[in-house]
Amino acid sequence: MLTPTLALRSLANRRLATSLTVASIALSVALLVGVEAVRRGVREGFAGTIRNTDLIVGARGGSQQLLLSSVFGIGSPAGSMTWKTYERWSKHAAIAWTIPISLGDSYRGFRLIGTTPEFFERYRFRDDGRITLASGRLLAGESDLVIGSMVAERLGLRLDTAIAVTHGLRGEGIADHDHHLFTVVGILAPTLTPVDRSVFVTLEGITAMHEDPEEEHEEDRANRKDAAGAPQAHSHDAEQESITAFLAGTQNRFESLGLQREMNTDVTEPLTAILPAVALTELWNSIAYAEDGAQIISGAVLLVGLLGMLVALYSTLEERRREMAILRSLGAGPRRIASLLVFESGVLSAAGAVAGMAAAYAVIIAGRGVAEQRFGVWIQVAAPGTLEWAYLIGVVVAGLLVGLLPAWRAYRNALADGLTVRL
Amino acid sequence: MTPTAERAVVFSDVRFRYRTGSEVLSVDRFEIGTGERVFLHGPSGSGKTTLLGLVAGVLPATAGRVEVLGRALGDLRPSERDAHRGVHIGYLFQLFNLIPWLSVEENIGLPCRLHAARRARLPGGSIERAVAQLAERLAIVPLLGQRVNELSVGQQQRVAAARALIGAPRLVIADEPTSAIDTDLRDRFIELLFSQCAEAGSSLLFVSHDLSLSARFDRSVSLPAINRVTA
Ligand SMILES: Nc1ncnc2c1ncn2[C@@H]1O[C@H](COP(=O)(O)OP(=O)(O)OP(=O)(O)O)[C@@H](O)[C@H]1O
Ligand SMILES: [Mg+2]
Repeated sequence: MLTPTLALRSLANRRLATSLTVASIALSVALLVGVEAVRRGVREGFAGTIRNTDLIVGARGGSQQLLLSSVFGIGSPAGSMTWKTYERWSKHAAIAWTIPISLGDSYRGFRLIGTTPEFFERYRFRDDGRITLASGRLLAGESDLVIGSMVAERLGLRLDTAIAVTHGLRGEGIADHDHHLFTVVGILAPTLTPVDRSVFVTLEGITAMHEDPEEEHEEDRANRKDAAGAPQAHSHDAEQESITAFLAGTQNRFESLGLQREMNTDVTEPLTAILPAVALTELWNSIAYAEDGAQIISGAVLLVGLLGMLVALYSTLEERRREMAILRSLGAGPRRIASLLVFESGVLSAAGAVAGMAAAYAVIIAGRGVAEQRFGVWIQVAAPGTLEWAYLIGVVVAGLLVGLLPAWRAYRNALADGLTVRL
Repeated sequence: MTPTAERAVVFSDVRFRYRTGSEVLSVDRFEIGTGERVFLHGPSGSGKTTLLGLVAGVLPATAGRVEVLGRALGDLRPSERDAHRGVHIGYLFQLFNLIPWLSVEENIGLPCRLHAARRARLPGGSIERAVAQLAERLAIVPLLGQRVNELSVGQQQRVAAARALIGAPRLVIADEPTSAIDTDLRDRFIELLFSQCAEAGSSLLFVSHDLSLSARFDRSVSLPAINRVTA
């Protein structure tokens, strides 16, 4: 018990140097833990983009393409499926509910989603988050239009504004469907999901929008067929005859996998079905190399922090040689003297690790509001996971190891100096 | 001649060299009797501190036999030598005797905290009481609560003496403890040291340049006279 007491007294005597060393370690630990926590938070936020939906089904194509186009509004869908196919699957015994989605148009850069009012009821994000209205009402008629919070903010749209929607996904004004005007009837509350960047109309609205002079339509369709290399999502004519994709909930979660296989192998119409949770994880992993860079940088910072501690401990050695000789004269062995230094470095690194962890979480909790508002990123604050604990233990162990070098020097000095008190 | 066990220190044909240097000491015979007060002198660099290191068991003899308080240090393991020193020897440095990050009181009590056997020799095993008693005798009671770096050199030496004397070590070693204090203070300090050693029955090995002190000791030894290595 004497070694810890002595080491602590010695550290307390050098308060300024001690706190600076602890602060530098804390800083690097905070960075390491912070990067990890943010990474995990963003990943969990990302994984929570769509919940409750067991399957997303679209025309035969890549699963990432389906996920990106249907959930994130990125890229174009692989194609469309017939309404008949949709109806057939929605009546499948294992399926509890389905929501059709029709994509392919945009409004001033924000994508248009044609769907049923049920979409807002079924859609869940993160921990049972629901889409709620900030103002107005949800979809009812074919001229109704509901916008996500970001759309409202960026475009400064208010309720009751009448707008024309762009045919196709890019640009504006080239081929506006201005014969069919929509009216903003509802503005959604922020969800920090792609919903915020979406514009919703009913399927009937989509159909009505495309009921224009045939020739323009044909020409359009031909153009877009070229661009996307596949038939477009919404070649509706007078009747609703096709959709882009549909979301589905199963009667029993465990049937999702079986259903997915059934849909993927169905020969009537070639489809691709994905499990959103699985596809989201795949997507995340495919872009995850970016996080490695952050990890490497924070690891390097930690290394610098530990080296700083080594320098701090090592530089005190010369001036402490006197003190070591006194301890030697009092019967302290060279081992005791070495262990004092190792204990000191252990205390420094442990204090730094704990302070750094606390600081990281404090900053995340305080700063996530800003991240939410400024960057629209949801950061899930989770209790420290195994990786964080491993970091903590790793830092303390590394600190002890770093302390071994000055300790070894002190050990050697203690043996070589005798009782010569060097100044 | 008194049997070995009754002598505090016996050197027989001891040689010593630092790992890095040439031979410093070669002493055929050097003894200190139990309760004897020995004055050791010699010019700077003649090896006085080195000899004390051998007695204390901090430096191992390169050859020969060093016996301290009835134990041949060469036969002990390093850790046993450290314990032997901690329990039975009180050591006083010339300067900078105190550990700066401990209070006066903690400095005095430290040898007993480091070695249970030293503590066991205190009356009632109470460090606080032993510290209080020594402080009383050395007139440093008002200093007990003070920070070490707030003390004068003379005060520091008395605190160091209290630490060397606590638990009545059987051998007290002092390496020029008075060289930094004035004559008046020096005389009183030596009186205190003598009376405490006498009370505890401790032997005293006292190193100094100052030959005027030698008359007060039982015996005066010149290191160059017993050391065959000439500087
Ligand atoms: N730790 C050491 N390593 C190597 N050589 C040393 C060491 N300590 C002392 N010496 C050498 O041993 C010799 C004797 O030194 P020592 O300190 O014993 O002399 P001293 O008689 O105590 O001198 P002083 O009166 O100045 O204190 C010197 O030549 C010194 O250079
Ligand atoms: Mg000396």
